[in-house]
Amino acid sequence: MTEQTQTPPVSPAGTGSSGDVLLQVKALVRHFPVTRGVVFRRKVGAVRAVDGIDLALARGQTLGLVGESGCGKTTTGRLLVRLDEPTSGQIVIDGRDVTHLRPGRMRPLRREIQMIFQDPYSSLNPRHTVGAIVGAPFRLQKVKVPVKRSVQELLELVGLNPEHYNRYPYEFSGGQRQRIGIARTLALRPKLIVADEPVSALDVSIQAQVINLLEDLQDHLGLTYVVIAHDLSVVRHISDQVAVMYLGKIVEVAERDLLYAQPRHPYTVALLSAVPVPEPASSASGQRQRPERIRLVGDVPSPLNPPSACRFHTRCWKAQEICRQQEPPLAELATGHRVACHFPENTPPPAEGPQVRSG
Amino acid sequence: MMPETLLEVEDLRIHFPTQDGLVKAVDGVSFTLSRGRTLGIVGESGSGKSVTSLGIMGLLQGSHAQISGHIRLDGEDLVTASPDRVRQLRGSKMAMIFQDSLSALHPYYTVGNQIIEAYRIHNEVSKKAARKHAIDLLGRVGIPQPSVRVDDYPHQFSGGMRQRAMIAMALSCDPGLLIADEPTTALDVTVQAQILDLISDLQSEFGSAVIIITHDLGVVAELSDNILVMYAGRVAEYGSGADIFYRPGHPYTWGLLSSMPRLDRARTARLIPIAGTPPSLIRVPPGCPFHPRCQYTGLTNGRCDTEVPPLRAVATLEHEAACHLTAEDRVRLWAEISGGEVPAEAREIPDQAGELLDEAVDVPAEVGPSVAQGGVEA
Repeated sequence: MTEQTQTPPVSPAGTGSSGDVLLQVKALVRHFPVTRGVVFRRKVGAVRAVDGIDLALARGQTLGLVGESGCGKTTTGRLLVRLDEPTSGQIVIDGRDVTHLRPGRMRPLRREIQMIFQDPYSSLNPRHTVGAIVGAPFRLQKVKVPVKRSVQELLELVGLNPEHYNRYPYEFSGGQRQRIGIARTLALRPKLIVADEPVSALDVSIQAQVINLLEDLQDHLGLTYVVIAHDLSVVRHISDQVAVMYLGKIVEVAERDLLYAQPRHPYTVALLSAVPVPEPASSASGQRQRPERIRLVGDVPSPLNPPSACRFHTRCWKAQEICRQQEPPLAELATGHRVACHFPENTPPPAEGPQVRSG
Repeated sequence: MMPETLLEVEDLRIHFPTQDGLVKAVDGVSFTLSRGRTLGIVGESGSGKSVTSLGIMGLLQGSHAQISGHIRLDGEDLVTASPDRVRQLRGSKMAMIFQDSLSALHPYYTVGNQIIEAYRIHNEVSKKAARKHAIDLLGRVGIPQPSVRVDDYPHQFSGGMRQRAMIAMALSCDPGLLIADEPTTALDVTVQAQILDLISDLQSEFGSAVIIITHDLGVVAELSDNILVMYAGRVAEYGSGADIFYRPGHPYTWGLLSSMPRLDRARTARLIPIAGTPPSLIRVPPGCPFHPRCQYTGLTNGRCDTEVPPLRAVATLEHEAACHLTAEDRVRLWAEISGGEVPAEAREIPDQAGELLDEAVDVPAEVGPSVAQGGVEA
C-alpha cells in the first residue's frame, strides 16, 4: 500500500526531527484524577492511562497502536486529536506544538487532524441526513465551497452513491456508515487521521472493503494514519510502524515486518502467540510452523496502581528481581526496533546482552 | 466407532413476522452433533447463527417467531415440546454461554448466588451443598480464591473472570450440550486464549457436545471438529475443519477466507473483500442467496439466480456445499484463489472467472481518478 519512496520511515520515538516527521510525541502523559468527597474534592489517586510515551511518525506513513483494553491506546488517540487535555508532555504536529492550545486556537488546526471512530452507529447523528453529516465540517469551519457538490464528491470518493445525499444513517449498513464517517473525516483534507478501531465493528468481508478503502485513500491523498486497533492481523496489514502498548507505556515499537517476524518484548511475543490461527490442527497440507502458545496468567493489572518498574513483570515468565526494581528503558536493540525489556526475546546469542542493560 | 448423536437439527426454519414482511432468519438448516464433539457455526451478522442457537435453547418460545422443523436433543423434539419441558431441559441438559457477560449476569446478585440458583432449580440440594458446588465450579474454571470470590458481584470481576463465571454457571448441571455464542468476542486476545483453552479442557472433562458460534475464523479453527458456514439463514457449507479451511467448496467461504488478514501468512498487498453487503432477510435474493455477491455466477448458465442450490456432497459425504458450480470448477477456482497448483486440465477452461474476478475486486480503483480531480479545496 504505502511503498512511498519519498518518505523513508522515520524511527518512532526517535529524536531526529527531519522535515518529514508529521507527528512527534514526547513524554506524553495523561492521568485521570480519582477524587473523593463532594464539596472538598480530594485527589486520592490517578488512573495512569497514558504514562509517558514517545512517538514519531513520518508523513504518508501509518502507525499501528496495539494493546489490550485499558492499555491507553484510545486515550492516546484522543490526546493526539486534542479531544482530551494531556497532563504533561508534548505533541508536535507538522512543526506546531499543539499540546496545550486553547479550543479557539485549536479550531483551525482541526482541519488538519481528524478522527475516524469505532462505532458507525453512534458516531453519526441519526436525525441528520448524510449530506448534513458529511457537510458539517464545511459549515463549522466556514469553508466556502459548493457544499452539496463537495459532499457528493466525497461520497463518491469513499465508494458511496452520491445520490444518497438526502438519506439518513439508518438506511445504510454498518460498512456503509463507516464510509460515511470516513467521508466526513476527509472533508477538510486533513493531513493526519487518527482511526480508533476503524473496522472492529464490521463483519469480516466488510472489514476488508474498509481497510482497502483506507489504504487507497492514503495512496491518493498522501494521508498519515495512526490506527488504533486490538486486532493484530488488521494492524499488521495496515501499518508501516507498529507500537505495542501495555498499561500506559509503549513496550515495543518497530517496523511492521520486523515486529511480527521477531517480536522482542515478551508481552508482544505472548500477544502474537495468543491470536487464534485459522488453520485447523488436523492439517493435511503439511505442518505449519507455529510458535507454541504462551499462556499469560491473570488479567492486566489496574492502571490505578500499576506494578513497579517493568509493568509487565507480574505476568511475565522471564521476570527477575531487576524487573521489579528498575524500569527498563525503551532501548533501540536493532535499527528502528525499540524494546523496553531487560530480557528481550529473539535476541541473537552474542553481544546483545550487555548492550541491553547499559541502555 | 460412530459416537452417539446428541443433537439433531432437521430443516429448521425460524421466521419472524414484522410490519415490513417476514424475516426469514433461519431457513432450512440441518446438522447433527455427537457427544464430545464441537461444531463451529460461522457467518456474518444477520446470517442466522445466533437465532439458530436461541431456537435450540427454546429461548424463542413466547416470541412471535414461527418455528418449524425438528430439533432433537437425545431424541426428544424440542420444537413440539411444551415450554415447561424445555424449561426443565434448559440448564440441565443444555446450557448457553453468552457473548456479553456483563449484561448476561444479574448485577444485583452475587456471582455465587446466580450459580446456586441455576443449580438448585434442577437439583434438590440444600443451599449449603449448592454453595459448595458453586465454589468448586468457580475453582475449576480458574477463578483464584473461589471461596472468597463467590460472594463478589459481577462488577467486581474482570471481563475474563465474568466469562469464566458464566461458564461455571452453564456447567453447573453438567449439561450434555453447551452452546457458546461469541464467547470471546468481548475479550482481549490473551484472555481469549485462556477462555478457549478452558472451554476445550472442560469439554474433554465433561464430555459435552459444544456448539461455538463466532465470526472469528481463527477461533472456530482452534476449537471445532466440524464447521457450518451460514449465509442469509441457510447453510452455505458444512464440513470438517480441514475441509473448510483447505478445500472449501463454496464461493462465500472462499470470500471469507481471502478477505481476512492473516498473521500466519505473508502479508498481501491488498485484501480481497467480498463485494456488496449481506442481503436483507426479508427479501432474500431468489436462487442462491449469495449470487448477487458471487463472481462465478457466469459459469452456471444462469442457474444461480433462479434455482436454490441444495446442499450436495463435495468430495466426501461429510463435506457439503450449497453451490451450483461443478466439482471441477470449484477445484480449479479454489486453486487459483489460494495460489495453489492449478491442475493442467483445468487451465484449458476459458478464463472467464478470472476476468470476473478482476472486475469485482477493483472496486476502489474507480475511486482513483475522482480523487485526483475531485477537489474539496476551500
